[in-house]
Amino acid sequence: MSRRTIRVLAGIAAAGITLTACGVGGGSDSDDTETQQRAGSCELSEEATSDEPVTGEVAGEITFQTTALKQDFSPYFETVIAEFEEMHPDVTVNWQDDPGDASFTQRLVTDAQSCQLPDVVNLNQITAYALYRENFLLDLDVKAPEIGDAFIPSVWDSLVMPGIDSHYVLPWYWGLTGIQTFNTALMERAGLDPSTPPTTIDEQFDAAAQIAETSGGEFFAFSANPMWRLPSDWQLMNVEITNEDETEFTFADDPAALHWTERMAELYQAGALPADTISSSDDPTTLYSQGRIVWGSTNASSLRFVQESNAEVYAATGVASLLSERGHAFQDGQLIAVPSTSDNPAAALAFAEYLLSPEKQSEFISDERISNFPSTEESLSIPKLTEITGDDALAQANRLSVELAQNAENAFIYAWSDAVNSAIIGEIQLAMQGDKSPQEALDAAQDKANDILSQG
Amino acid sequence: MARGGAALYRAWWVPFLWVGPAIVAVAVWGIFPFVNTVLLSFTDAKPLGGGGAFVGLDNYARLLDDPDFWLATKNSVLYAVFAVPLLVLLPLILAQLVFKKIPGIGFFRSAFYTPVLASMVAVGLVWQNLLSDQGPINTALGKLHLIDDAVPFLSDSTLILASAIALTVWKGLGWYMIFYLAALANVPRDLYEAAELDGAGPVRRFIHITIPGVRLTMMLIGILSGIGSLRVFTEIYVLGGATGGPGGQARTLPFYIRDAALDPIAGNAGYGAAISVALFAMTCVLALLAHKFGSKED
Repeated sequence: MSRRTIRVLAGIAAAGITLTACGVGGGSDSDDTETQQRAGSCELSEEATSDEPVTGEVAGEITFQTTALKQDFSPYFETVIAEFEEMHPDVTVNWQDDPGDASFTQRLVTDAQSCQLPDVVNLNQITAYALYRENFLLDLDVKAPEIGDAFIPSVWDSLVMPGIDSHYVLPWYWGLTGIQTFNTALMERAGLDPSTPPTTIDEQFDAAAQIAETSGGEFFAFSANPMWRLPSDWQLMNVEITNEDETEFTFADDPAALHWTERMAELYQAGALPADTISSSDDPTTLYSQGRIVWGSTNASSLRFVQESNAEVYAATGVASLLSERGHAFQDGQLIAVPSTSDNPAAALAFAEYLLSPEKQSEFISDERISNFPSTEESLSIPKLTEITGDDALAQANRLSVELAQNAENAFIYAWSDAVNSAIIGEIQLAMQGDKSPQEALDAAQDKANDILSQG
Repeated sequence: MARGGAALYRAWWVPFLWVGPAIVAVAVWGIFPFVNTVLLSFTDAKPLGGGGAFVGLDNYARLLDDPDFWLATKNSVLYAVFAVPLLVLLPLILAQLVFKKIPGIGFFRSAFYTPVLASMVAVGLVWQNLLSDQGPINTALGKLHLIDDAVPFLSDSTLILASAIALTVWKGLGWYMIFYLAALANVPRDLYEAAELDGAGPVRRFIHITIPGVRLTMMLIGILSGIGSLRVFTEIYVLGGATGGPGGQARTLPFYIRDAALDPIAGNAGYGAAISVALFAMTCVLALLAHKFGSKED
């Protein structure tokens, strides 16, 4: 074979590698009449597809997957698994942990495509929705009708998928959106009174404008990337983001969304926000810990990171609610699901129920390293949540969170997928940089979001 | 000449047995995904659950009218146009510098190779810190009174692309330097000695002896770095964030494939596959150009 031929073949092979590496997967065709018997290209068992509860023998080997918990909580899970296996000697639980990074959903989707989903899986709402839509999750109201009895009613009731009343996921530990954490020392330097923090998004923007005027670029109000503020800011401002059944985005027609975008653009151009964070994926907690921004995360659990990384900033941290026009905090949490592809659904459901039992959740949430809430009513009365002492930022945040948790609502927007998020955030970024007017950006964002939605 | 005795008694299928595992591996991880991607590009398949109805050339027609696709294509081409020449020339100069056998040169060879061993995410984060508004580079430029305001390396889409190219080149230098070190070892030393006797200086020796001597390696590096440039994702993601710079203006084709195809709720795997095929076509063009360039030597 000549060198010339070798070169041609090498070139074609190299190009082929590029295509296969950039290729994307896709499921096989499915017949509508078989939809309920299949999930993607996976055949489902009679036990998974019948209209009867799962009553089979609790036996067999199951895989349990958590998200980013192995490093810190291995002893807890090893104990839970050992206890369960002792109660059910015919069951073997294999535990695996996903790092929970940006590729989490894609990894789980790949597992689903290849019919390799774990039997009991810890996931977030968007991933759960993606799996539910393709029939990958068991209908718990049918398969385990009483499994939801122990959960906090408001949490359990809010965990239905859009447009239906059935439950496909179980709530686990959860956090709140609705508090603000702020650096009181920087506030004072900006001439703001930390004892009267803003109570609405608009008031926070007013304070941010004052920070721009007084900080001289030494510190800023909050991260510039709108991805950290949407959709929660719009939800707190009662923006009509979608229509009722989440089949169409409508935010561009809402004056509150326009007002929000205009103000974000003004703040960015006035130097209230660190310019180099406009598209950065850096968590605001990192910037906050460095003393670069006045407002940190809206999630109380982030304070533990601040405490560990910068004691001075932590000592200066104030905590208050920021519920704006909405008046309620939002809850968003980790879920547990049992995929319909499980070979041992009885064992999987039994393990999920044991893991989420009041007893086990009380043990888990009692761990001082966890700043989240349990999903069972009984576990809410553990001393850690009812007898909070101390006056540091974490204690304040925990007390406030317990208070807000009483009427928190799950306001998750299933239509706000990752692709929609990128499209909307991208247009807002252009408005902030002055490349588009706020209304043009909102219109373009809405068109793109609806275009993406129509493909789903 | 008589062949070895054992070979005479081998069954006809024995050679296939030796190459069988490789053929299976290539078929499973190379040919099947390739064919699958091409077929998918004619469907509206979703990332999950099938639904891949045949849509003919719709995905390709959509490509032509999709401004985001053309922006990503422009960015990918620009990436290759700037990164490839730098990745062909700079490692050669670097290799030339560390090729000499002098005491302590091993340290420099190792030092130049170190970035290759680090993960792109890790070095990307270091670069992000260096390039931030209050980072060392802007601080140094400010102290030297070269700038009044921080250079927006991380908030201007063009500068994000330029920074990502610089990162790709910096990280690739050590890797391609190794290729050149191997190639330089094969260039006859007497050519250099003869040229030196004829009065050729270092620059003329580099142009007239070194470059022709490593020309095939240059072509190989051109192809490899070109393919690498067309597949860039991580650098843009780390420096430009999840949107690929403000408004997604710094997105490359692989970045756009992710956005268009992989969202489990609204992704369109068929359209993503069509973009992949377009990227494949670009890679073929690059390979053919490199082949044409290399053919001149024959």
